Parts: sequence; C-alpha cells; structure tokens
Amino acid sequence: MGSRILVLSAMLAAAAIVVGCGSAGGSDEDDGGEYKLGAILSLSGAAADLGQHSRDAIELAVDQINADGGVNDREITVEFIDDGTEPNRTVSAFNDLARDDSVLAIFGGTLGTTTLAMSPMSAQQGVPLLSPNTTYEITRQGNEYLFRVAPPADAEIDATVELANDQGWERLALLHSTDAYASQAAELFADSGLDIVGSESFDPEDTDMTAQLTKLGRTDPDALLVWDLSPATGIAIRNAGQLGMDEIPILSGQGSNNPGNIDAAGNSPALDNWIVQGVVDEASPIDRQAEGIELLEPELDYPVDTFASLGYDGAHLFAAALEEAGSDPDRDAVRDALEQVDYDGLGGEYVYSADNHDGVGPESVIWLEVRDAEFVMAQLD
Amino acid sequence: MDLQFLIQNGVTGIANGAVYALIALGFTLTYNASRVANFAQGQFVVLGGLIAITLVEAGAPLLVGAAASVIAVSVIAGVVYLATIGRVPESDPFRRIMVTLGIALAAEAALQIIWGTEARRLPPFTGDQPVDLFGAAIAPQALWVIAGAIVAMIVLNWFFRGTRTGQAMLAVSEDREGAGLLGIRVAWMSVLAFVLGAGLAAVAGVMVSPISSTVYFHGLPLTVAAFAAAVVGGFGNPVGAVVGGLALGLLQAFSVAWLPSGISDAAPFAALIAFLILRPRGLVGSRVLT
Amino acid sequence: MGWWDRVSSPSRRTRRLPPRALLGVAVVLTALAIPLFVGDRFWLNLLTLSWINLVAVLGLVLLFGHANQISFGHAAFVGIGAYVSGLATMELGVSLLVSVPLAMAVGWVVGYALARPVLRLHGLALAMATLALGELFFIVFRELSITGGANGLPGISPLVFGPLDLTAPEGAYWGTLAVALATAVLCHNVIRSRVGRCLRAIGSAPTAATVSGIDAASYKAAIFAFSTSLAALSGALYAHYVTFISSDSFGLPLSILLVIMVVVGGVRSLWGAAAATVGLTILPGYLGGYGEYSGLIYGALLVLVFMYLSGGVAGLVETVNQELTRLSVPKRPQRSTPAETR
Repeated sequence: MGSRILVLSAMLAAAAIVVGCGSAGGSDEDDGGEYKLGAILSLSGAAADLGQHSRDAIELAVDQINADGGVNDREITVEFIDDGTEPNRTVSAFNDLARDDSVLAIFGGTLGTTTLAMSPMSAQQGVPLLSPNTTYEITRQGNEYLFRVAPPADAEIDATVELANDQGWERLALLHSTDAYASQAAELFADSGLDIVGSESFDPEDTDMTAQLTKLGRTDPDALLVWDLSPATGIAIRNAGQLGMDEIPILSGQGSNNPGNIDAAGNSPALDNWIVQGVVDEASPIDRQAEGIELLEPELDYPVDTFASLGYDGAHLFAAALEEAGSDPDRDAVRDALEQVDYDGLGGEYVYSADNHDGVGPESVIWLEVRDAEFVMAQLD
Repeated sequence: MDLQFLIQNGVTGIANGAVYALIALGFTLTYNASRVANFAQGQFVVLGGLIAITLVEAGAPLLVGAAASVIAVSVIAGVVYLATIGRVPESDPFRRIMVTLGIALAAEAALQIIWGTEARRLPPFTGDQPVDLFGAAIAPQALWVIAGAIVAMIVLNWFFRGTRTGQAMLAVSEDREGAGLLGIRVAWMSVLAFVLGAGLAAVAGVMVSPISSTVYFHGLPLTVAAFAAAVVGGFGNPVGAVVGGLALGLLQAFSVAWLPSGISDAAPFAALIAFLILRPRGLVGSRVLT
Repeated sequence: MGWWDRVSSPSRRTRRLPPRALLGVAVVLTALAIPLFVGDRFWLNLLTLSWINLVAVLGLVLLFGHANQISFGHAAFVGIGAYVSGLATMELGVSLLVSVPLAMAVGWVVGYALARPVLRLHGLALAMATLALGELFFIVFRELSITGGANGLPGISPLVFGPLDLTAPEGAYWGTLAVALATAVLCHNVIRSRVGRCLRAIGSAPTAATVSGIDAASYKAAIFAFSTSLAALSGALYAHYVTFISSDSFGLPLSILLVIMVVVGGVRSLWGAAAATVGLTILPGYLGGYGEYSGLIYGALLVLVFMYLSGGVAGLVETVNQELTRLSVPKRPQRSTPAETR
C-alpha cells in the first residue's frame, strides 16, 4: 500500500516536471531578435545514427555562422526535437514547432517517411521544410514549402548508370535492404535500363547475407550493387569476400557512406573493390567543400558523412534564405527567398527555382573508395 | 541445384543457426526455472557484445574482455532481476513478462545512450580468412560460434547432472511445488536461472559480434528469433532450443536460396505458426506445449 | 432540517466519491470541451491520436481483458484498415462513408478467418502465434507494391465523411472522439451483456464454460473478429487523419504498444484503458524533447507501473477510492451537531 502511494506520488511528480519542462515549444513571445530554425530529427529509434550526425553538424554550422556575426546582425537559434523515427511523433513535433511563430523553417525529418508525414501540414500551415531525404516523392506532393536538401533518389541511380556505362559493366546484380531508401533504389534500378541479372533483398537487421550473395554470385555479374541505409553494407561486403566474390566491383549509394561499414567489412579483400557514393574526401575536399570540412572534420569524432553534410548544408541554406529575405521575414518570405538561393555547399551546388525544389542533381554525386580505413576519392579510369 | 550450392547454404544455415541456438538456450533455461519468458534476452546479447568491445578497445586481450563481459552481464542481470522481476509474485507470470518488456525498452535506450548509434565489431577470434569446407566458404568465426554452442551444451549438461545446484534447478523446472517442499529455495533458483540465461546471451553476443557487428537495436529481432527457435525445437526443452535454432538458421538460408526475394523473411514466422498449430511440441518434444 | 442535515447526519459516516456515472459524465464532457479552451494544435493532435488509438485498444480490452485471448499481432489489423480505406479512396475514388465501413468489414472477415485455427492455442503459444501473424502481415505490407511498402502512400484523402469535413484540428478531434465514445459505449454494453459474461466464463474457466453449453470456439472467433474490425477502424481513421501511411508503422512495436495500453489500463477496464491510452500516446510526444533519454524514461516508467500497479490505472483508482473511503470513516462516535460532523 505504502509503495503504491509512493509510486503514484513519484509519477505525479514526474508528470508535473515533464509538463513543466517538456512543452519546450510553447508559444514564445519575441526572443529578442533571433532567427529560429526548428529541427525534427531521428535522435532515437532506427535512424538515430543519421539524425544525430545531422544534429551535430547543424549545431557546429550555426555556431560558426553566429560567430561570424550571424545573418543581418542577428543570431540563429535551433530547436531540436526527436521524433524517434516514428511518423506520428514527427507530426506532433511539427505541431510543437509550428505553433511557435518565431520558428521560420524546419529542417527534417531524417527519413523520407517522417518527412512525408508532415508535408501536408507544412503546406497547409505554410511552414518551410528543408528535408534531407533522397526519397523521390517528397518534392512531388505539390508542397510549395518543401525544399530538398539532398540529391533525389534518381540522381544516385543516374550516376550509377553513367558509371556502369563508362566502365563497360553490363551485367549487374543487386543486393538491397528492405528499408525505404533501398527499396526505392531497387525500383528505380529496375526501370533504369541497366541489365539487372539478379536482385535479392535482406532485412536491415540481418546479420548475414551469404545466402543472398551465393544466389547472386551464380548469375555471374560484372558488378555488384549493394544498397542500404544501415551498417549491413559492410557485412555484405565481408560476406562477398568470403564467398570469393572479391574480383568484381561493388557499388553503393550515399546511404552506405558510413564508417560502420568499413568496420564491419574488416579486412575483407572485397573492400578494395568497393566504390560508394559519398559526399566528400576529407583529405582532399573540392573547393566548395573546403570551408565545411575545415569546420566539421576536427570537431566530429567520425568522418564527415552524408548526414552531417546535409545538416551543415541545411543550416547554411537557412542562413542564405534569411539574408535574401531581409531582416524581419515571416515564413512566406523565407520560402520565397529559398527559391532564389544559389548556394555551393558540402553536398553539391544547390539551385532552387519555382519549378525545382530538388536543389541538387546527379552532377553533385562523388564516388569514394576505401584506403587505409578511410573514405577517399575514388580513382576511376 | 548442385551440391556446392546446397553445401554453401547448409553451412551458412548452420552457422547462423548456432547463434540462434545459443540465444534460445539461454532463453529456455530462464523460462524453465523461473517461468519468465525474458523479452529482454536480445538486449543481453547486445550488452554482452558491447561491453566486450569496450574492454578490448581499451586494451584488454580478447579472451579477458570476453570473459569479463559475460561476468558483467550476469551480474547486471542478477541485480536487475532482484530489483524488478523478482519483486513481482510468481503467481502472476504475465505481469513478470510485462516487466521484462519494460526492461527491454529501457535497456535498448540505455544501450543507445551509453554506446551511441554506431555499429561496432569485436575482432574475430582467429581472423577473417574463410575456411574451405567441402567447397563452401565458411568464416572461421562461424566455426567458433558452432563450437561455442556445442561447448555450452556440454557444460550445461554437466551442470544439470553433475552439480547439486544444477540438479536443484532441474528439479525446480520439473516441479516447482515439489522442489519447494523438498527444501530447495525456489526463489533463488529463479534468480540463478535468469542470471544463467543472461550469461549465455552474453556469450552469444561476444561470439557473434565479429560476424554481425553489434548495434543497440539488434535486441528485439534476436529475442523474437529466440522465441521462434524455442518453439520450433520444442519449447522448454534445452535440446529443443539448440535443434530449433539450427533448424531456424537452415530454414532462413534455404528460403533465401529458393524463394523470391523479400518473401524469405516470412519463412520463419510461417514455420512458427505451422508448428504452433500443427505440432506444438516442436521437433524434439516439449513439456510445456503439447 | 434541510439538505445539510441530511448530508451531515451521523448515518452518513462514510463519504464516497460521487457515483461513478457522474464522474464518467464529467470526464466525457471535459473531453468534449477541450477544443473550446485549448486551441493549440499540438495538444489537439496528441489527443486526436489518443482517440484513434483508443478505438483499437477498447477492442483489445474485450478480447484480452475479458475473453483472455492475448494478441501480439493487432498492428496487422490496424494496417489492414489503413490500407483498405486509404487505397479504396485513392484508387477507387469512393468516399470515406464507403471506405471506412469497408475497412472494418475486411478487418472482421480476415480476423474471423484467422481466429478459428489460431484461437485453439492458449497463453504463451497464442501470444507467439499472434506475434508471428503480425510479422507476416508486416512483411506483406512491405512487399506489395500497391501499398508503397516502406516508402509509403502519401496523399491519402483527408478526413471528409460526405458533407462532414473534419480536416480542421477541432473537427478531427471531435470526430475521432465521437467514434471512440461510440466504441466505448458499444464495448460497455457487450461487457454488461450475456455475451460479456460468456466471454469471461470462457476466459477464466473454459472447460466449465463448454460444459455449460457455451460454444467457446464461436464466441472466441466472434470477439476476435470484433476486436480486429475495431483495429481496422482505428487504422482507417489514422490513414485519413495523417494522410500518409507506411508499412513501418504497422509492425511489432505497435502491437506491443496496444497490449501495453490495455495492461496499464488495468486489463479489464474500459476507463483504465482510456486513461492509459491517452497517457501513453501523449508521453512520447513530450519525451521527444529529451532526445535519446525518452526511451529510457518510457521503459523505466513501464517497469514501475507493471511492478507496483498490478491493477493498472483502474486498480489504482480503485485503491485510491478505497483509501479515501477508509479515511473518511470517523474513528469515534460523533456528537450529532452539524458543526462538528465532518
């Protein structure tokens, strides 16, 4: 009995504290001349790794922008909310941010499904979204307020087709995970004109792809495509090596640009043949990436990957829009300004217009390979 | 369908199956002696892997890190049991299971907070060079896992038959009330069983990490796999757990080989339902489900 | 003498909480009134999602709390409802007035068909069989191209029932609350009826029930189908409310969450389930501000609740009620002057 009352009191107290502190996004009054960016990221749940990398980069980018004097002499503040990679939490998070009029735009969600969940409300309520997703559909929902901060899925496929044609790889085998990113890639590959001689899938939580690779190996492909968003790519590479498939090139999309994959692949000989679409070679960034790498590389304890670069670019796109929009913009002004933005960032050259909210195309794709356990620019002859 | 294909898939199946077998074994032991179906079994596997990785990265030799991890996980499991599940009366098994569910959720979050989101990997015990087995390639680590499962079975067999504690636990599994009347401290056997199950999970986690990497979210799928293996083999029967694990591994490997892509994921669940409805006692026989 | 004396006379030694019914009405009226005081979309959204969840949870209370049939696969039926209604409106162009009942019908039929073989199992076996079923459906949802798989179906028709447009936050709130209330009343009537008694008989003493002539198998199948059609209704409402669904949402985590809501509510109690559903739907929204710690807090809370509140919310309310009743009994005989009696 006593313990029950105790637990009840504890829960009530906890509830009271949560009520007091949890509703962080309450309708704030004027925060003294700051620009507020909302960020809805997967900080827990399936895509936590990706969301956290974006968060780290956004924080660093915004700190640097503020240190350099801010935009229009004002500072940028960011409010982060975790949606746990669950679309209905994304919806709640969106409402939480949207009710605060000082939030001028929202960066997120980490996965296409979370973005699609809040896109209708973004259109309805007129809140600009900067969405770091490759998911094809996000810019085809008729939402004028949504801007893509990543190459669209078909850009990755186009880049792969181009490479395969250049190198004369005719027969390609595809191993992809069942997550949204890879499933979409699989669909696009099927329509891409490439000769996909075999296609197998695995669950993102699978720990062994030997069976799938055994099947694919028998189709005698010229190259192997491995597409997925989780660290399973590395396992697939290791399995491929163990099966003796270490002579053919292995290609992956930006989703695999993750050091966890290098780790998981171990000393597999197949790792030498792996080329992955990525953002940057930290050791030799191209011009538009120099500033970003200079900032991020020393501060992050992981190599700069896709999600960090998207966060960085997102923050800068926001800043660029603010500069364009003037000193006291509302959300519509920010939206209009974004359409005028022309920004060369880490992930590519972003150019938006009224008919193009995609920003970046296949020309921004960079191919990387692994040398000494680091991602470097691929040497393709 | 040639021999090499069959062998390769067979070898793959057995290697993966051995992992499931180890985890299912721990799960079964816990269930038998404490009647708790531990929803958090998978999280103990992951914890075992992560602690070992941390120790090894800090400089400990592989074997020391592995052993220390198993001990650490066992201790943690004991503490958790005494603080939570143990306080729920045995007359309410459902509530005890729900508590393990809460623990599983909290544990997964804790793993993410402490160890972050990146996948990590324990170095393989004897390297990555595949071994040639009748024309099929098998990772040396997979052989370690199979050996580990065999050793675990032998050790457990000795424990249950050759030691008083083990015999007591066996007695409790077979007849709780009777054992209690004989003076066996049933409650302590429950704690011990839970700890033992967690220890086995940690062993699995350590052995499997070089193969599959260890990430905080691997817990739930492993728990589900342990359930399935236990049922297919014969729920509550330790031999069943191992047989079921191997069967599950083989089923997965061959369904990938023979079924269209994507559907193969369904095979273990279809098998589970089929066994539950048509042959609940599983492959080897079960006292719990008949 | 007047009402005061009647109320405070010595014969009324024990002070009770207002009769249950009165309290219930008060709660419902408060719920209905909320949008009038709280214009904040954030709260309205969380509560709307709570009502949507509640529809599914109420069905499970009947299935699990009364008939004692556990299901760890109900997310599958939520998904069925969502996809059937969503696709019917998108591909066939029918209105929600057709698609939502259609979704419920499909939920019923599929549930009934599966119930017959599956409900021959009990306890842990039943739990695992339903879990496996749920996972099978999850895979189907993921692999079928018509569902959009993991990438999902954006652009589902919004919550418009014929002339009734419920797309505004208040409209959605009231619409879903109305459905939840209707469901609750229906479930309440079932519980109170002979059917309810049969279910409880089947749940607690199946052999005795069969011996007294109850066709347990049919009852179980019927109540299973009832609960799955409610789950489908919940799914349909969700699909049209968020206008986007993806297969990721209809897997094991949702099934587990629904069971948790039933158990935290007190297993048998409709009111408890309502409180638990609202609480557990709102909680993650709050905890989002805590980032990675949200899961830890959530799990720890669940552990505490399962450990110490064996009757769930309903049990807690009972306990509080009893405590208050006990506390209000005077320890010594009273002088019967109005001023001293309290």
